[in-house]
This record gives sequence, C-alpha cells and structure tokens, in this order.
Amino acid sequence: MIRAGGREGGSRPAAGRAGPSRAAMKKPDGKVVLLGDMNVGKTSLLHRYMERRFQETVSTVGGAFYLKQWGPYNISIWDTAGREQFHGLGSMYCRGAAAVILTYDVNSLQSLTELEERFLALTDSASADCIFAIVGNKSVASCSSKVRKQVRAEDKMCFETSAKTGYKVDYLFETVFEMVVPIIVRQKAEGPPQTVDITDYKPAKRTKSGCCA
Amino acid sequence: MQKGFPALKIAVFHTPLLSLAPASSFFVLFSPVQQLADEKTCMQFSIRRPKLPSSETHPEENTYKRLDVSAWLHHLNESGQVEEEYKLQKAIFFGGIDISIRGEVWPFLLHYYSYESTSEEREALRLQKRKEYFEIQEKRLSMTPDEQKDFWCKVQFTVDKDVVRTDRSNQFFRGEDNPNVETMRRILLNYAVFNPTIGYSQGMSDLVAPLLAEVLDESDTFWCFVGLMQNTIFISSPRDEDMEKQLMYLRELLRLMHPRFYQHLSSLGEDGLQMLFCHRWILLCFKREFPDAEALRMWEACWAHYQVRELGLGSACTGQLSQQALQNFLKGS
Repeated sequence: MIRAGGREGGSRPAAGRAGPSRAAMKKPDGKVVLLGDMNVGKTSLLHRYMERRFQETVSTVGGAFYLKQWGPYNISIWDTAGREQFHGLGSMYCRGAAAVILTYDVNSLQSLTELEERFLALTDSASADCIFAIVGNKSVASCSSKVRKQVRAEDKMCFETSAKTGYKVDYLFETVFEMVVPIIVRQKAEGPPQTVDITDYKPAKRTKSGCCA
Repeated sequence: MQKGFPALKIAVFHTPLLSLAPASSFFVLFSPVQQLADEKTCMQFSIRRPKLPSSETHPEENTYKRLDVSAWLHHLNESGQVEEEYKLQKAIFFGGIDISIRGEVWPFLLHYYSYESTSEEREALRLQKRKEYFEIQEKRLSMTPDEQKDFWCKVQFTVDKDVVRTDRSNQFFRGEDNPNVETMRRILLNYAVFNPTIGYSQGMSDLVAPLLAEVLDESDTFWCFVGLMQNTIFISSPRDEDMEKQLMYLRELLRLMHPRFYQHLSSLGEDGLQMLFCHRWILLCFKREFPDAEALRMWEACWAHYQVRELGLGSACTGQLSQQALQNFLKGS
C-alpha cells in the first residue's frame, strides 16, 4: 500500500506568488517532482497550475521544470516522462526532491498499481524527509470512481484533481508547497550537500589476491 | 544490420569544424529565450542570427539553391539512377530539398533506395517490400492471446496513447478520427514486431510522423523509418548504453571545443556534466527544439552524410553552441 503523508507544514508564506519571469533565472531552492505512468496528466496538471489553462499536450520526453516563486523561495516543479527508458534521467528525477507527487488516472487502476510497482523505487534518492502526495487526476468530481476506494480517502495527502477543469489543482500544489517550505529551510541551514572532487580521487591500488598477498 | 551511432573520430577536429557551416540550420546561433509575454514560462530555442556574414560561413554556402524538381531530375540519368551521389548529397547538404519532392528524395537518404537503383528496380523493390511489410503486419495480427497481451503491455498501450498526441497541429494529422493517425499507429506497431529489441519507446512517434507526412505510402514510410532507425547520423535509442555514449561524445567535444563552458558545467555539481538537458535534443534530433521547417531542414542535411560521415550529433550540437549562445548560457545561470 502506498502511503501518502509527511509532517505538518509551516504557516503560509506571506509573500504569496510572484510572476514566473522574476523567478526564471534564479536557482531553485527546493524540488518537487511529478511522477506517474504515461498519459495520466502530469504535464497537464503542471500546465494548468502554471499557465492557468488546459490544452492538449504532447508526450513528455526527458524532463522539464517550471520555477515557481513561493514566498521567498524558488521551487522547481519537475515534469517527467511516464515511460522513461534512460536510467540516467530516471535516477535524476527525484534526486534531492523535497516532495514527490505520485500521479495516477482515476479511470485506470493499472496507473495506480504502476505507482507502487515502478515509481516508488525511483523515489529512493529523494530527500530523507521527502513529502509524498498521491494524486488521482482526470477526476469527475460528482462521480465516485472504483479506483478511489483503493486509496485511503482519509489521508490528507491524497488528492483528486482535474487538470481539465482545474478542480483542486491549486489546492494540490499549494498544500504541497506549504509542506515543502520547512524542508527547504532545513536544507538551507545544512548548507550545500557535500560534493566529492573526482579529480582528486585516486583509485585504491588493487591488492593482489591469493598467494602473493 | 544495426550500425548505430558511427564511431566518432575526435582527430577529425583539426579541421576547423565550425567553418563547415551548412545552410541555415546547422550554424544558427541559438539560445534559450523567453517567448512572448503570455508564455513567459515557456523556454524555447530561437534563431538569433538566421543570416551570417560570409566570413563566418563555408565558402560554398549560398552557392546551392534548394533542390527542386528540375535540379533533382538533373541528378538522374535515363534509367533513373543517381549519377554522382556525392554531388547530390552536397547539394542537399547546402541547399535542402524542396517540400514538393521530399517524399521522393528522402527514401534515398534513408537507405530505402540505393543511389545506383534504376526506376524500374525501385518499383520492383517497392512491391517486394510492400509484400514483406504486410507479412510483418500479418505476424502481428496473428499473435496468440498470450503474445497479444504481452505486446499490448510493452508496446501497444504506449503507442495508442502517443499517436493521438503526435504532430496534431500538422494539417496531415489534424482532426478527429484522422486516418493518417491510424496509419502512423500501424507503422509503429509493425515496427515493434519487426524489431522487437527496439520495440517502441516514447519519442519514436515524433520521428515517424514527418516521414509519413512526406512519403505518404504506408509501406514506403515503414521502410524509410527502418532506415532512419538504423543508419542516420544522429539518432539514438533511449537505451542506457546508447544514450550514455552519445552524452559522452558530447561531453568530450565540449571539453575540447568549449573548455570554458565545460568548466562551467563541472562547477555546477553532479548534475551539470551529465548534460541531461541534451537528452531530448539527441533522442528527437532537435524536433521539439525548433520549428518543424527548421528541424526537417537539419534532418535532411544530416541524412545527406556530406562531410560528416564520421561525425554525429556532437558536431551538430557543439557547432550550434556558438560562443554567443554560450555567453547567454553563462550569464543565465
């Protein structure tokens, strides 16, 4: 069973949103990643939130991100390819992520199963206190879907959205952002992650095994 | 036979590669710029200097007009053989191909027709290949239920969802229930049967769509696509070893040709030199980075294999990453 959740979020940042143009060339302070099977609506969700509209999308190849200013922070929101075959990208998607939004299509049980079977493993490289949100997209608010029953409805980090109508899309992203802020604050306080200078690296001399040792 | 990416000979670079500027697209200076006000968040490449001073271009730049019908017929002898393939390749490399005859010329560039073939031989080949194509299709349609299920999971599910969102703004694929979309779907499914190792991966629909829109015939398009996947100069499968190799070439080229940018990337930490921002450029041959007309012009120039037999995407990329674009990159970051 996939469990959504995370610790309690901080208070809402006072500054609210700023235009993307101001954030465009800044370095991101935190990373949020959308994962999920192909055609569940990851790009559309992101597009709906950032561009305020719904339009036909093409399949995502590689990865792309939007920068969103949230209070004093720039949050990068990564869109990913549902069927990425290049391991290099797959492992990059979640590296250091403060939140992962696991997305499925409410009309497809398969897309929910895929989250556990394929995508959960990718999140190993995320930040240790990473927040997980589970999102059923393509929701028709008035209908109850079969898939919905599979997800624990009482969990507050489970969402149902519709990128098409905009239903609960802002709520999803903004709830996630609020919970991400404390993680960013902590990451900043800890300073940049330790990097290893590979040019200094000297491979350990291979010790001969067996009788000569 | 799968040739894959041609071995790159770094030594070739003692020739001033950057002066090898084919028409318009190869040597454009691009940089990520922000689009119009209402699409501020959308980063796209734009061509900064569509015209270059002659001092910066290959001496033969602008000496070739776009290959049109009459020029094309000039390259053919009485029996329809291409007389001097080198000349044709050069003309295409510098001048491009007129849209009206792309469907006729591309099959040569994509190794479906050989340059030595006569018109008669080509007709015979087409019939033979059409038969083969439908045998492949027959094989797909006569799978056992188990095979079918497996094929659906691995290939068909993805193809079905991708074809309906590929090049829909192109007139050729526009509208509901467009039969051309169904043709594209069959070609991709049949390709996965023909070459199960490659199968289908996302992005392949982006490559086949322009072929179908120009070549038109289903079987011919299929075989051109087979040629594209096997022989062209810059194409990469998304498999780890292929993509790693491409990115490694690119990294090495940058290190040699743009050490400053290389250093900048290495200063960015672990992600910089992985150059994952180039992944889509490589996989889709810049199809999504440039407007269609520009991208296809680049494809043609590459497929012509003129003077770039040993060079691949790397040269194209680094050729394009001009100093000016690098300046912007450096400033932007």
